[in-house]
This record gives sequence, structure tokens and C-alpha cells, in this order.
Amino acid sequence: MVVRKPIEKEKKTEADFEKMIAKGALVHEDIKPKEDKKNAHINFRIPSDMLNNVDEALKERVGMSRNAWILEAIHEKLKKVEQR
Amino acid sequence: MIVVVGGVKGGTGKTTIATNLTVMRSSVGKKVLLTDADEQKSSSLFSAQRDGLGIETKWVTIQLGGTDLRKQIMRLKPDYDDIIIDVGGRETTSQRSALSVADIYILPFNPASYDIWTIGQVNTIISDMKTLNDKLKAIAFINRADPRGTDNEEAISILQECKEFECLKFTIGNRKTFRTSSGEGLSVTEVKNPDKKAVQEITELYEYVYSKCTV
Repeated sequence: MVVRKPIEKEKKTEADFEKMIAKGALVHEDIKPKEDKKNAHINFRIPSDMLNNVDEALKERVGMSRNAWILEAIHEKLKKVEQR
Repeated sequence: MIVVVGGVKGGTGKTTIATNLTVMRSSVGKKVLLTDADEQKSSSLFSAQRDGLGIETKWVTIQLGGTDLRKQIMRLKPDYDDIIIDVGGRETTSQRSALSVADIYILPFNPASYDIWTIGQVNTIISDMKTLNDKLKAIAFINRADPRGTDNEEAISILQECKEFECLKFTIGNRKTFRTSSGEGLSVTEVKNPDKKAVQEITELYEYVYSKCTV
């Protein structure tokens, strides 16, 4: 047979884009709670020298709050757990 | 056309390039959206400085970031002739998201080893994003070039070995006018008594992006 259908280009889905984009480090916009999401409040204890290290790391992230930084760290950990 | 000014090294002059291209593009009557996707928000500060000084600002500036940037830009694209996205010097979801919709990826490199050593990381980002965005064209050039010595040429020859991006032969010099003009909310083309060499260099980049890379 010499007459064939053209090969269809593999369609890229939005999920393909999201997967590739997620390889990048998270930014504030990725972790800030969406307006429709309820925030839970917890009491959180952290060694003071660790908190100092967090504040030190925060200096490299202009405009980011301490809360957002900690949320980002939790996100990264959860991502690793999901990938296992 | 969607242009992303990026890279994975801070301090290469991304915001200076993005804001100068924005001013130049909007001055020829194009409706431009300057998207600040850098956590430092310097592009937004540039536009705010300009507004504060009462200088006419013909473009729109917004702040976007993260995975959602892609969807927002796709939504905004029909309303603008050109979109210029300034991403920070880190490999973030913002940078990848911007590249998923970009036509041109501009990579300013300073002529220094620490900058050149980021080539591998940049190559990975480009090859990743090209698998999904096959129209993406990446161009690199030496920014803040040294006035003398051989570092510029050496850096160019290393960049030219990379297959993921094209390295431009011209450079943009480390000129004071780029720093002073931004403080005044102006591009180097707008200041009184403009530095002719700076104007010539940024115009060369502008012409390359908007004439030779036209999509």
C-alpha cells in the first residue's frame, strides 16, 4: 500500500505542560492559599537557631514572607513523598 | 510576540534589557504588556518610578508568577501586540511557565565564569521546554561586556558551542547609562544626551529580536 494517512502529531495536553513546568522551583504564587481554600491554624514550635537560618535564607527571596517560605518547604517535601 | 528575558543567574541585567525593550517597543506604537515574574519585582518598580515621575507610560505592567502564569498569558495574549516577561535568575515554575508560551527566550550572560557555568542548566530548561513549545527560539548575548581584554570573545566562543541557543555576535557594554537611566524611569534611548554607544547596542538587540526573529 502506497497511500497512507498522514502521521498525526502527538497532541500535548495541559497535564504535559504542568508536569514540565513543575520541574522548576516553586515560587510564592504557587503556594499562596487560594481565596476559596480555608486556612487551618496550628501551633508550631521551631528551634530558634533553625528559625534564624530560615530568616537568613529568606533574605535571598525578596518580598517573600516567613510563612510562605515554610509553606514552600512543606510543598517540596510533599512533592518528594508523592514521587516515591 | 512573546519575549522572555531569563536565565538562571542573578545580576546579568535581565530587568534592564526587559524594560529597555518595553520602552522601545511601545514607542513605535505597539501595545505592550510588561509582565514582571521576578520575585524582586524590579520591572514593576521601574514602571512605578516612571509613573511617579509623571513620565508617560504607554505599556501595561502586571505581576504574575508560578505555574498559572502560562494560563494567564494565554488569556492576555490576544489583547496585546507584544508581551515581554521578565523572569528572575532562578529555575522556577515562573520561568518554565513563561517559556511554555514564549516565542523568543533572551539570555543575557555576563562575561564571567560563574555566568558561563550556568550553560548546562539553561540547556536543560530549553530542551525540556522545546519538547512542548517547538516554536521557542533561544538567543544569548554578552551583556555588561568588558571595555577591553579578551573575556568577551572567550565567553562568546564558549556560548557559540551550545546547540540549544544561538549566541549573538554583538555585545552590550557595561555602561553607566543603563544604571542611571533606570533610576530615572527611562530607557537609555530616552535620557537627555544619550550615550550613543549604549543606544546603538540596545537598538541592535531590539532590531534582532523584532525584525530577524519575527514570527
